Amino acid sequence: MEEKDNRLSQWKRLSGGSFLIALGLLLGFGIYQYKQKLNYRQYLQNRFQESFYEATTYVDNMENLFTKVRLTKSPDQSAPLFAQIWREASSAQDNLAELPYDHNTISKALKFLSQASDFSFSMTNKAIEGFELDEEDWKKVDQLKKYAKILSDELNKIKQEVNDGKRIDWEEIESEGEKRLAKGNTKAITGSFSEISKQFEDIPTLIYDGPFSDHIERMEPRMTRNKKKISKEEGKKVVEEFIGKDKVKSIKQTGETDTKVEHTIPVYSYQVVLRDQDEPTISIDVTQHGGLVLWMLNYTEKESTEEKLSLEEARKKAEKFLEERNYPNMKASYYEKVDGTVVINFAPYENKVIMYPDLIKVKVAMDDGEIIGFESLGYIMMHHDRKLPEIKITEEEARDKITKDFKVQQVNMAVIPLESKREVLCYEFKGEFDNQLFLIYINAESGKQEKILQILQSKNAVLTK
Amino acid sequence: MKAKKIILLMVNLIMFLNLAYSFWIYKVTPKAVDTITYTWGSEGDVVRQIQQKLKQWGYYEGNVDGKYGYKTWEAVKAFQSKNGLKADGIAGKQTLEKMGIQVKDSSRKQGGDNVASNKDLMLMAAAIHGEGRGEPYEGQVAIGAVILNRVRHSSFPNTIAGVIYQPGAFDAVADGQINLEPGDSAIKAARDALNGWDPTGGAIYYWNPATAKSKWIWSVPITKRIGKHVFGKK
Repeated sequence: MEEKDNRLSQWKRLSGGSFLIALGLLLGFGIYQYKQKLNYRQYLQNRFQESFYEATTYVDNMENLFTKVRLTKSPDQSAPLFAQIWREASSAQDNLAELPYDHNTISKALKFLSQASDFSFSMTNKAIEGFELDEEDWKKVDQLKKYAKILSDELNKIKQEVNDGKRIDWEEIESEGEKRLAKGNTKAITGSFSEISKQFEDIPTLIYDGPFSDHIERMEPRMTRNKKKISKEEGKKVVEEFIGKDKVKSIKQTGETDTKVEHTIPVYSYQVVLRDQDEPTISIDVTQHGGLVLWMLNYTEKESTEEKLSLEEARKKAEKFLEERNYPNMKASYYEKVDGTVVINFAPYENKVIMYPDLIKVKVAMDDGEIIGFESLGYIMMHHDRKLPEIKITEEEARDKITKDFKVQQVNMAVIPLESKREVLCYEFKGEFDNQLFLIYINAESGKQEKILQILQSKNAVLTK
Repeated sequence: MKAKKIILLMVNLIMFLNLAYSFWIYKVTPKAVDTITYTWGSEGDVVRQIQQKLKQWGYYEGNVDGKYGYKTWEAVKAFQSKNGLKADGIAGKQTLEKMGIQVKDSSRKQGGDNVASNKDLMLMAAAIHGEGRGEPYEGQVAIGAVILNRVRHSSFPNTIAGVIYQPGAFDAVADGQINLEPGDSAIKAARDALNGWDPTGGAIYYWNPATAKSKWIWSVPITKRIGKHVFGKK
C-alpha cells in the first residue's frame, strides 16, 4: 500500500514536472514568435512612415516650384524649374503609391501627381525648344499649383498630428477602406486619406502633350466610329471568314462588352472549335461597329516546336494572311521568335511612307506556318487616310542633325506616334553605333530629333527592311 | 484523487500534443517560399505530378487533386525514406529528381537572347501564375494585360514592379504565392500580354465574383468575363 502511494506520488511529481517544462517551452516559443511579429510589424510601419514623409516633402517642393515657375518670363528661365517639378512629382507619386491606402481613396491623388509630372516634362521640352508658354499652359500651371497646395496642406496637417504625438497606424489605414464601405462612415484616423480624396473629387481634366493626358483615354477608334453596328450573327460570319470556313467546326458567342463601359471598343467575343478538335482552342473578339477582328489567339498546346519554316517563309505566310483579309500593303518591320512561334509587326506602307501607328501583329507557328495570333488595336485606333504635312527638311539636312559617329545604313520616311499619340512625319535613319543597331527619327518639318530606338538584336529578334 | 490525477495526465498530454503540433506546423509551413520546393499547402501542376507518380508506385492513396495535404505529405515522406533521402515530407529538388519530375530551371527560360520587352517577363509570369493558375489561358493573358494597362494608367504606379507590388493590389502578392515557380502557361501568357494581346478591352480591375469582399468593385463597369474572373474599367 505504501509502495503504491510512493509510486503514485512519483508519477504526480513526474507529470507535474513535465507539465511545467511543457508550459515553459510553449510560453518561450510563443514569446519568441510574438517578439518576431512585433519586429516585423515595426519594420513595416517604419517603411510606410518613411514613404509618407518622403511623399510629403516632394509635394511641398512641388507646390513651391509651381509658384516659382509662375514668376518666370522666358523659356530659358522656366525650363529648369519644370524639370525639377517633373522629378519631384514623379518621386511623390512613387512614394504615395507604396502606402497601403485603399485604391479607391488614393487614385485621384495619384493621378494628379502623374499628370503634374508628365505635364511638367512636356513643358520642359517646350521650353527647351525655345517656345514661350501660352495662356492655356499658364492656366494649367495655376490649376496644378492649386491642387498641389491642397495636397501639401492636407499632408502637412497629418504630419502636424504626428508631431503632436499621434501615431499613424498603417494596419488600421489598410483595413479602413473596407470598413468605410461596410459602415458608411469614417472615424477620424490619423493619416486617413479620405479628407484629401474628397477635395480631389472634382479635379478638372487636363489635356496636354503627354502620355497621361486625359485625351488619351478619350480617343475614339478611327476604324469603327460612325460604323454600322452589326448583330452577333453577323459577327459569327466575320469569325468564320477570318479563321477560314474549311477549318471551323463550330463557333460559340461567349460575351459582349457591357454598354456602361466608357472609352472602350465594344466587342462580341467568340470561341472557335476547329475541325480536328473537340474543345475550343481559339478566342476572338470582333468589334460591334464595323465588324473588324480586334484580336485572335489560338492557344492549342503544340507538341512539336520544331522550326520547319524560315523567318522569310513565316513572313510570307503572314503577309498572305493579311492580304486575304483586306489589309493590303502591310510591311513587316520587326520579328520576335520564341518557342517555335514568331510574332511579326506590320505597318501600312503608303506612298513610300511607313505608318507605324497603325500596328498589326501576327503570330505564326514555325512548324506548319499556321497563323495562331492576330492583334490590331493600333490599326483600329489609328488607321485613316492621313494628310501628311509638307516636308520642309531635306534628307541631307536631317542627316546633318545626327552625330557623325552614327553610320547610316538605310533611310525611310515614316509616320511615328509619340507617347502622347501625336503623330509626326519623320526621316527614319537605320544605322550602327558602337556595333549596335539604332533607329533615329528626325522630324521632316522641324528637324527635331523625335526619338532614338535601340534595336536589341539577337538570333530571336530581328529588324527587317 | 484518482480523477484529479487523470485530469492532470490528460492536460499534460494535451499540452504535449499541442507543443508537438505547433512545432510541426512551424516546420512544415513554407517560410520564405523556395521556388522549387513543394510542401504542405502547395498547389498546382507539379503537386499533381507528384501525386500521380506516388499513386502509381503505391505510396499515395488520395486523390490526384494538385493539393499538397496530409496524405501527400505522408506519401512523400515514405518515398523519401525508401530512397535514402531525408524524410522531411518536403519535395525539394532532390526528391523531385528521384521521382523523375523535371523541374525547370527558370534561368534557362530567361535565356541570353532577351529583347527589351522581356525585361519583366519572369516577374509578370510569376504574378500571372500566382493570381491565375487554373484559369483558362485567355484569362491568364488577361491578368497580364490588366497589369500593363495599370502601368499605362495615371492612377497607378508607372512600372510593372510598382503595379504588382502595390500594397493591397494583388492577393497573390499578399500571401506570397507570387514566389511560386511560374508554369509554362503563365510564361507564355506573360509573353502574349507583353506583345500587346489584351483580351480585356483595356480593363484595369478584375475580381472573382465568388470571393470579392469589396462592394465598391461592383460599381466598376464590366468589359469581359473570362473563367472565374470579371474584368472592368472605370
